[in-house]
Amino acid sequence: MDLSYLWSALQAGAGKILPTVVLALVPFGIGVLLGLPAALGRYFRVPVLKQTLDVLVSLIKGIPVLLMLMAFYVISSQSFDSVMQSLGLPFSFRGLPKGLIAGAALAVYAAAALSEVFRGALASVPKGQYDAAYACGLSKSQAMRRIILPQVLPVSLPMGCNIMIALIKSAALGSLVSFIDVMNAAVNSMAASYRFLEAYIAAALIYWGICVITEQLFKLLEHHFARRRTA
Amino acid sequence: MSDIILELRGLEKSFGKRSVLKGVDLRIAKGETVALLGPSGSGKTTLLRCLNLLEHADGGTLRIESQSLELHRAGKKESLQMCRRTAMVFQHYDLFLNKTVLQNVTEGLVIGRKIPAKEAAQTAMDALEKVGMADRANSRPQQLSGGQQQRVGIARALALNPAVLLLDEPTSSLDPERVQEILDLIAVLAKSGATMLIVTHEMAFAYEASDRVIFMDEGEIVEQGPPREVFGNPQQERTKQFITRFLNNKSPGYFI
Repeated sequence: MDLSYLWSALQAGAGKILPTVVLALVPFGIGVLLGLPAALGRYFRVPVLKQTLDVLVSLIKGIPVLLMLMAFYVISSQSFDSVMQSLGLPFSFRGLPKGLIAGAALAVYAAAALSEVFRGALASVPKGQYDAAYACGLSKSQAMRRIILPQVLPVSLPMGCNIMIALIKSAALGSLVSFIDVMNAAVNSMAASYRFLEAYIAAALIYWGICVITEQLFKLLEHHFARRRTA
Repeated sequence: MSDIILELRGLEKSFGKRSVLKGVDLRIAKGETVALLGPSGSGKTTLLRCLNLLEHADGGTLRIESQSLELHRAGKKESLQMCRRTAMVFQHYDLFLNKTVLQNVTEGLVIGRKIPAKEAAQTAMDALEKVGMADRANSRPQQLSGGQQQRVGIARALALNPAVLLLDEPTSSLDPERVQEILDLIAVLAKSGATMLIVTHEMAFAYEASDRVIFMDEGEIVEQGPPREVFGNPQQERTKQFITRFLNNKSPGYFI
């Protein structure tokens, strides 16, 4: 192992930290926006919706993210141009940023995973909280917004952090659709010298660093809520 | 006859095939304190929960103050309106865990009743003062003992100024030392003219503090009347059994 190669691989990888974090963060955000209503629909057993979501979540959980990403790529390479043409929009598959395809696949995964997290957190809120809210004259949506969800979100943080970390690491799969993240940048920089071990070690160190920081950020949030609950 | 503030006719409720309430009629006068007694599973709690629409009844009409409602086909808006005429104190307190003591009391006022925040805070502090918890206004429920939490639970219900205050076994999850202080507090409220319906297993309390006791069994009201009559001279066999069993656990002549 040669430290100078390791250093240049580190530099190359570090240059792609931002796209990597964005590719994890945006799907995470979409996952929260889709996963929370999905969890509510499942937890409160909304007819039809619940059964549909149960099947969907089970399906998504059971498929490797890698496979989903490839499927998305194939589907969009075959039909993106014709769909755009029929809509009269000036977009083509050739010009499509491949990060979007990777992002879409990760967002689908995040929505399913986070809906499970929120469902578990919903179950942790005692039934008496609902009774008390209604007995105080709150409507269902008021009770949900002001009493239930503020208790659900802090409980979801530790598991939510795990999902976020999984997403950061999954961003490396973006290389399959020629999206350049930390790992691919590090590997590409060593393509000429064949110093792949250095590239892998460099990428591993960077991912580890990102994940440690992510964990600390989530811990800060947890502390914030914990303080609010007992102080 | 004094002013009837709550009138219930033919309340029916079943869970699946099990009929829990079989046509219950109930009238409560303004300022009256009514104790609801009976063995576990007799439908007392379900009756209470039907009165504030936490439980959807299968049949019956409810009138509180000027509003009447056919319980089995009540719309969302009327249900909410009817629900806001009562307030409830729960067996397990059920304070909002994400709020402070003060916010627990103001929540129903500001959000449910649309009272301005400042006025609500004043009302809430008055209610907390009444139950002796004003000095803990900024505490969190998790920092309070069971007895303190129940005091806040009572303040939260009182602040809503309900036509009828419903109390569901308010002392059942307290340790014996705290039971008496909560019962004393409720007795003070009863004297101050609050209209209350209390589900309780505290017979001595029902005897001393209530204007009327109702004995329920298997989803029906078996017997009701002034505590002295129901405890001293029960008319129904089922009531006699229940009272006797209770008296056997106490020293003889407890009520005499």
